[in-house]
Amino acid sequence: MWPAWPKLQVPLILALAAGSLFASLIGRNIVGRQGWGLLALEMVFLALLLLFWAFERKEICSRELSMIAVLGALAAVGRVPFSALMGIQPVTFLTILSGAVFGPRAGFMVGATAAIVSNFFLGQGPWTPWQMFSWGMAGVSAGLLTRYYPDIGRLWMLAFLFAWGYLYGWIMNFWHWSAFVHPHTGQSFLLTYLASLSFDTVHAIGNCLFYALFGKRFTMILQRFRNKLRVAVT
Amino acid sequence: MNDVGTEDAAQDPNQGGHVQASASILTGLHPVAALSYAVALLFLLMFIDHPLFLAGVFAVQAVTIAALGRWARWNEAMGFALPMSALILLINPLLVRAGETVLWIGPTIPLLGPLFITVEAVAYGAAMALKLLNVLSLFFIYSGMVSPDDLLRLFSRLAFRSTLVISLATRLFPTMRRRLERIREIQELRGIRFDEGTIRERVGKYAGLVEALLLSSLEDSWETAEAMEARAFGVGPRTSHRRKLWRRRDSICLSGALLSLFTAVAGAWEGMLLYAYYPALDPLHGDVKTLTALACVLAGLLIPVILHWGWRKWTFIRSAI
Repeated sequence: MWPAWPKLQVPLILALAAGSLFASLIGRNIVGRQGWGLLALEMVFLALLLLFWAFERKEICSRELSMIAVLGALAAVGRVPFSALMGIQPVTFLTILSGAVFGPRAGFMVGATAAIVSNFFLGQGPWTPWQMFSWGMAGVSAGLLTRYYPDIGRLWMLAFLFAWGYLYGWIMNFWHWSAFVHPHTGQSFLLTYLASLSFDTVHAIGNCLFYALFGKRFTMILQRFRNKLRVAVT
Repeated sequence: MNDVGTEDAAQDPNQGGHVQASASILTGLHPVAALSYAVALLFLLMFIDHPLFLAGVFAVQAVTIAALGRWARWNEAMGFALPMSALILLINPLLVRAGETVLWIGPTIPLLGPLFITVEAVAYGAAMALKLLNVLSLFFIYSGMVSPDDLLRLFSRLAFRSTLVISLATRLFPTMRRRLERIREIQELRGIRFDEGTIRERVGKYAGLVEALLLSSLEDSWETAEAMEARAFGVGPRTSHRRKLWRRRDSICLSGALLSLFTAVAGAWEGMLLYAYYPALDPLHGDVKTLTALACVLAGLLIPVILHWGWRKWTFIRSAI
């Protein structure tokens, strides 16, 4: 399925990303001339490529695969009724919960799937790869968080969800700033980020509300299925 | 900021506003050719800021969308997008202090300092507004040319696990909406009134609803997995077959996209096609070289529409491609 150089893939992509960043800083070459909007998009594509590769490389059983698909579809369905209410996003909540229970790879897939599938129905656009990246990273970080701190309390999870309300908005702001705002100065950066502050705050509070309402039960349900997954004979 | 262009949401969820089966070259292209056309166009749009290019691409896209038969819906979508691009057009001149030709000096604003508007900032705002419309139209063309199924089939050869997850989730999406409705109806029959009670009570009722959805969907995913295993998932290496033929038209479209890309990159290498808005606007008409390069880029992008037109009018072309 994959080329015979699996060990080189990650270093190659990282070298490509670092190389183009460096070339753009020097300026005066074809990489530098393309501008930050395009360069940032290319970086996000490279990051998505790496993350999908990480998922692709691991053997996965059919149950885990279809469960990830179900969670992604659930998050996508939850997104639609809220799409009119900018800010409140059940996707972030469900992705983080899935990442926390099933690990970083599954968390990434749930977030990225939710983004791309909901956009099949809400409309694809230049925001799709950025949303896939942001929500995917929310899942990855949640997975890493519980991998290193398995007994993290409810309060810290709340803080984590609150932080991702802002982080998601900040990643999306970076897209907006790099693609549509010019010149790229500290001031325009600050103004772009200030402009989205209210949306991000609503998002963060929404995350916490979802967690306060559904967090305990959902975590229990997901953990039960994770345990079933471990016991099941494949 | 991230949910613009959601006009497709009003569509039937099973259809999702994708390609309808129609006998046309533009919708019948091989996904690789259609995708490379869309990607090339996106790259060019992010790469070139020349106002003539932006205007030309807008015209090319309008013609393509008309040929795709989506003119009415595109107009509607543009109606939604216009206020947003107007916002860019307004905000940019107010915030940006670059540019030499001052149009108007306004009062001092506490946080921002003195207000002044330059011709260059207005021009740049207008170009960015046009760029935004262009990018939105591009996704209109993309969703008309490439159906999600074709796309997923294409990637399933490269990354079958991820593609399988995404296509499963896409299939589950409408099912889950229906299931949510069904659970809701059942709960209502059991006497739960979702629109009555205090906020706390209502939240409790909805929590039950969502929990039932989560549990039943996860239980069902077990059955999906069993169905997959019954169809020999994970047994030995996967086989695949191609449904779409690669025709001559696909080669022509692909070479058109490559021509545009090559001209743009080579042009930028030579220092053409790069239009500076600040500190003072470059002359619009430019030199002959830049105009030739622009014409080449736009001609490459026009090729699918020309093929479409020739295919409809000329039997000879129809048989040749």
